[in-house]
Amino acid sequence: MDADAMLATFGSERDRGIALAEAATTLDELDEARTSILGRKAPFSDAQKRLGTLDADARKRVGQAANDARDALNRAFDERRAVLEAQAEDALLEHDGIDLTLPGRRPRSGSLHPLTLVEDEIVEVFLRLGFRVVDGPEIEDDWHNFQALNIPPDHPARTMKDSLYVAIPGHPELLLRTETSAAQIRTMQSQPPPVSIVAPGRVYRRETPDATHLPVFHQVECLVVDEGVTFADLKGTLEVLARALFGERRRVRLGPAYFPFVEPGAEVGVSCFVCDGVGCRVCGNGWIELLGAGMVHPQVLENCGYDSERFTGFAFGLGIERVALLKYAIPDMRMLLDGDVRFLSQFGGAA
Amino acid sequence: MRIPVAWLRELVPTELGVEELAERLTRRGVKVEGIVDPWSGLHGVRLVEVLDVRDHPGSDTLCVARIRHAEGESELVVGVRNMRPGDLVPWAAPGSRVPVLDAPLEARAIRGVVSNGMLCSPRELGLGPDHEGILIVGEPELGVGTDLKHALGLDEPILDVEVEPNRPDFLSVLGVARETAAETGVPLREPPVTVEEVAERADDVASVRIEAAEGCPRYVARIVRGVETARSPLRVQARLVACGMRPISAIVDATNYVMLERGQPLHAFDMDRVAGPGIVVRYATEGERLTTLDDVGRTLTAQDLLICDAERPVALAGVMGGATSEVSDATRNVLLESAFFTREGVLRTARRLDLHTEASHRFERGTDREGLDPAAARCASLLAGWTGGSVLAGTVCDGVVRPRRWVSMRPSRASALLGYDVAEADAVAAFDQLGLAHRTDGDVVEVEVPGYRVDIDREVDLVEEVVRVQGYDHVGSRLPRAAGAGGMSPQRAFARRMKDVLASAGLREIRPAPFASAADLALFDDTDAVPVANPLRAEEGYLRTRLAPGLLRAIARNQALGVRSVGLFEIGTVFRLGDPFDEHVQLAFALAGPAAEGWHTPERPFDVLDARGVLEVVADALGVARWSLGDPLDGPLHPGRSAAVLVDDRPAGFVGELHPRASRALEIEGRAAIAEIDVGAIRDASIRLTAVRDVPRVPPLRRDLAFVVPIDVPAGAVASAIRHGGGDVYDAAVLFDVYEGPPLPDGRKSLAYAVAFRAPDRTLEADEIEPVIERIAAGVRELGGELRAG
Repeated sequence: MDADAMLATFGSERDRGIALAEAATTLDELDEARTSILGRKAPFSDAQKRLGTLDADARKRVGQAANDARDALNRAFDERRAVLEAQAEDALLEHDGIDLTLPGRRPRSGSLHPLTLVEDEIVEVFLRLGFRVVDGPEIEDDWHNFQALNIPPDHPARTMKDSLYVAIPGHPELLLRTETSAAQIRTMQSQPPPVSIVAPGRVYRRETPDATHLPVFHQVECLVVDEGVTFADLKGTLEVLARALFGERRRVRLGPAYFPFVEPGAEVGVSCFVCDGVGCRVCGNGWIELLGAGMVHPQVLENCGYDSERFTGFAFGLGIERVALLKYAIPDMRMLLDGDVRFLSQFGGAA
Repeated sequence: MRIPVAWLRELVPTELGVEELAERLTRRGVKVEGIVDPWSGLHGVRLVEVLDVRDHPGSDTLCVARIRHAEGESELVVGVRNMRPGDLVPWAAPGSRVPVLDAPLEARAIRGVVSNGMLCSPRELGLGPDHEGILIVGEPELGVGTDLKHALGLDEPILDVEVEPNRPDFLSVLGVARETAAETGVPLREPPVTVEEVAERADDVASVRIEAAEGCPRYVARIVRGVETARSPLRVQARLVACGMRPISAIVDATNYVMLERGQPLHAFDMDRVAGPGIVVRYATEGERLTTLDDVGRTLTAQDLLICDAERPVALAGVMGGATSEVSDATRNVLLESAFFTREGVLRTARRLDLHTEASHRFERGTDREGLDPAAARCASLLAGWTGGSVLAGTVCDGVVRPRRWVSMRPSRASALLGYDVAEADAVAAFDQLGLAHRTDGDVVEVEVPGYRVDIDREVDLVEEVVRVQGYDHVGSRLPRAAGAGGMSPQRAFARRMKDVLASAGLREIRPAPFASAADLALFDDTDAVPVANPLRAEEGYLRTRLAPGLLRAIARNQALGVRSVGLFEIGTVFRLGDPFDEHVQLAFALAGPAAEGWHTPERPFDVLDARGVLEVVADALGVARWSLGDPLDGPLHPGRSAAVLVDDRPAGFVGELHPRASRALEIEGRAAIAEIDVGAIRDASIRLTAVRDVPRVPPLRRDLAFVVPIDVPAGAVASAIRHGGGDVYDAAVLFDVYEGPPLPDGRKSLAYAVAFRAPDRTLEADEIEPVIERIAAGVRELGGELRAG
């Protein structure tokens, strides 16, 4: 075989091999084609083996052509292999499909109770303001629940909300607290001023439950006592709270009200978050009455051994259920008690 | 307190619209809760004269009345027959409206006779409950053609005022009128308190003696002689009805009318039934009895104040009159009581007897100690006018009125509390507006407190008056300086974190009311529950001792509503008797129904191992390593699927499945797994991560080991044998299969573990593990089992 014949073989085998590669429809066919072109017994190898018979010059020239042809062939087979492999994988994946409208395999959903969510929100505001969060007992004594709060036994305010008493022999003074305000007293008894606390907790009253009242509900009590605390501090604090709960544009309005443990006392309205204070079905006249507040009555400070001339303070009590009803448009407060999964699941995760 | 606007305007002739008046009063602390108008449906009813009444030709019960009205005569059909020719009666002509009917009246035939509208009973006009007959108007000065609505002052609505207990003066029209005058600047026109008297002196006829000055500092009586049986004027009756009271007779109405007007409760005795006649005010003797007006016999204590005549008790002071001296149609001579009873005394008696009246409501909040004489005079004068009686000269009285007190206020103190500058002139202007006398002494303003302001006692009370008059909108806004570092107590923060852990474990938080029934307590044989003395519901007479019953009830309720898979938790307070009681926080959760609902997972019910799994998650998340399960507990639990939970080797709660008997009793379907643990115990055992372990740099060598063991060998014991046998190179073991049944012999089970071995410093070779596996196998053989494959 002379140089020209070799060159012809390399050229024709290259062309034939590229054509075979392109024609292969399976990886097996491709492997077969490769062996038939580049196998040790194929014409290409055969011709290549004979390169040694050529002179140096021709060997170099023809050798180069052989390498080029082999490279071209390898490229063609590799490219075709990549294509066929991708096709094979695609075919495999086509059978590996899944219906993505099937529900996902999700971890079981849990949720926090809306009262916890609202309490968190309120507590968060006061933590930001540097308040301490304190707890008090739910079974209280008459002194902490009433007398220290300027509600002596013959005070008509005691008929305003009848209390639930516990029957522990020898302890007629014990009752279920009617206000978280008792926590004010316990705090002031345990530390000197300055005080700035919130006390979330459950309270009890002898009331008939309805859509907007529960006999057992939750409050957050707030108390600040220091030198120089004024009514304006109360209003400013309430504004921060109202805006955190109901939006940045809320305004706060104080109006006269009576609570035995504060004076001046105030009923606090927040501009309606639905109509922005214009008047709507939620608020009526543009204001939502939210809570009772006031300046701590000097008698209360004195009952706790504070100097009422030197220290002044403010306090308020906010009903958590009421906030939850407003925030989540809950139609009936009793839903908060029921533990119905279909209600609870709306506060995180599916039913 | 219901305040008819027309009555209010009589005392303060303001021209403000009702809405604006209500808003302005509310902003001053006279809380108008609502504006009601019971007569909005009354229109065009006029007074007419009855000319004759004849039988209805087509009916045995109906009659036909001919009437004279301003435009002529008409006939109408009437269902009752109490009117007679000459009577003045209200006529709702065709086209007019009455409150009880939705549409205007029309002329229509009733059994063949055309009825031109209707004659009205008091009830049909909204003037009281009386529906026995047509209203006969006994006031000839109201002539034919008079528009009833206008003549009776029913044109204007009623303010429904919520009176707070510190302002009992608002329990009267006069009290609200004072505040209205202050708000509007329109001068107050007090109702007249002059009375025309005859020469005979009251104190010649009767006597009054107070023997209990502490409970009754002063007692005033007026005497009205020669009264005729009469009704009070319709206008007065309309006002009583408007205020929620029932017109009864001229005498009783007069006392009620003056009470509503001035806030002073009054009582009328039939003087001829008062022995003496002499009034003695004294405390009851223990066990003394009195039958009150409501015909209830009352047994009294030495703390109850009595009004007595010369022989016996005739009234429960400030609460209710007695039956024996009650006024009636036969009453000809009246002794009117206008007294000041102290708050505490009336409150005590009214509460003890659970007898709450308009009088006791006012006395227990505080009445005007200076208002006795004016009220008595006003009442005597009205009563005499309505009944033709004569008022005897002067009063019969005993006791003294405490002189007015002065309370001082420093404007500087007001500024310090209110946060804006209150000048002396501001304070003085506020007190002037309220009609409070004052004087200035240095930098102090002193205010004379009138008898009707029972709420003003110390400086801060006057500060409140200043801000109330100036308006709460004067108050500025700022934030208090932070008093300290703030933050939550560790207990609260821990319980709160625990909620997040339980929620992320797939449980939903519930917050039920913390009461327990006897059945709840019996469930766990709890005998130390705290009873509630006056429970909201008789069947829930205790505070809960544990959270489990509430969770189980919630499970049952959800199942009843068709919710199948339920996982709930609560972190809450429980109560037990102690010294004197113990109140602490527990965590509990319950699982029932399918553990997973989905196409991808075979359905199986929640069981005790799901509950155990939640405990594991809680323990991991909160850093509790030292916990374990102990023996099954007594109680409503499955004996083979429950255990005490030990934290730090001390009992802290339980985990288990509900006993099927308990499930049936609680109406829970299928298995229910439940656990309850003391939060404090978990917190005490919780360790914060302070230093991490180094992680291994080499991969483990894994071997699957299957053991066949007697069926009663706990998996925990096999796991323990693997751990011990593994020694230094033990890394982890995961139980991946549990099997009982053929081909295994009866009484045997297979447990298959994926065990990982690891040396800290090098990759283990397979042949190094063989002796280790042999040690493990030996350990399992000691349990009566054997290594089957590995």
